[in-house]
Amino acid sequence: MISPVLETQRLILRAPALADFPFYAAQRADPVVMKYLGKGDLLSEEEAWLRFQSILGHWTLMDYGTWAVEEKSGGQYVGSIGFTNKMRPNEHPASGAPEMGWSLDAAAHGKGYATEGVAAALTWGRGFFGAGARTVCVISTDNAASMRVAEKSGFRQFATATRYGLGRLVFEREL
Amino acid sequence: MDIPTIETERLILRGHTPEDFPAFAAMWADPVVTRFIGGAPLAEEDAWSKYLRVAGHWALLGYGFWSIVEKASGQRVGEAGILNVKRDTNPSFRDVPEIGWGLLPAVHGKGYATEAVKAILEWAEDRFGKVRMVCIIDPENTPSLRVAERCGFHEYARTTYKGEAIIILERLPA
Repeated sequence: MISPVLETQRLILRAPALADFPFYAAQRADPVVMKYLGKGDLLSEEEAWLRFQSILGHWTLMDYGTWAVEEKSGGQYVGSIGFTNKMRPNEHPASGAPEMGWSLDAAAHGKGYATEGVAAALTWGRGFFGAGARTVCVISTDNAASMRVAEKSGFRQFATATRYGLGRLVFEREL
Repeated sequence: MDIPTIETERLILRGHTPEDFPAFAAMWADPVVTRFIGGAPLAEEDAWSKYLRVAGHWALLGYGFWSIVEKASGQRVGEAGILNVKRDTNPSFRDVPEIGWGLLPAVHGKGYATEAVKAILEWAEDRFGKVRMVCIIDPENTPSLRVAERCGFHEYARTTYKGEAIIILERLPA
């Protein structure tokens, strides 16, 4: 399906497009953006392209997914926010629920964009998954900024996990 | 986008469907399949990410990989298609359409890969016109090298990709 367009005060959340890829790849190669994602490794253009394809394919196959986030003023692509089925193993505390994730360009950090975009996505998710459906998010233990976004967005930490030997906090909330 | 269906004598090539995922994941968890493609069996979550990629590739570029269904049994027996995955190789073939294929061990040796690849090459000519195409094959993968040769591909470089030896083959437009 075509991802719905969501609008907030300062942001547009829309379908990712091929033209976004250079910006997405640049973010995936930026140590500030990648510090708390995955192993913290920077992605090559080739690796970023694989991820980018998955984001598109998720919408096609699952009818939900991750939006491209655009700044209204200037129309700049500033990051991505959305829901993913990561097919985590059953033993992972985040398995079995749509998982929220967000990442923004370093220049767009600290403006409250993540919280603003996540709120719009949560509202959409309530309609799509149903009121009361559970959603989760997984955040690196030292990623204080994202933890604040999660808390402001109504998530509550309920479990911990380990990935690549690194600690994660697992949050949940009802839609 | 709507993924076209291609029919050959013994096979149907169609887009992956959500119902294919268990078969897809089982195929990519089979070390016989991954020995020459990818190198290591994939965990379910990695297979999932690969599976999502296939749909995304079609959506972004208008071409990609098909599921191969054996007409006689109705079973999904493998996959083949055309890729642009921005591989970091030397020599580079970045903007050249790359063809690839993988079949379940149970149907190896029946000529299915050749049958599917020939049909895809015809489709590719409609899609891209008469263009150069490439494929990469592990030097020890003799059956796939034979498929490539039968489909008109010739070796033009030997190099490494992600630390593994590969042969790059090309097929020049007729």
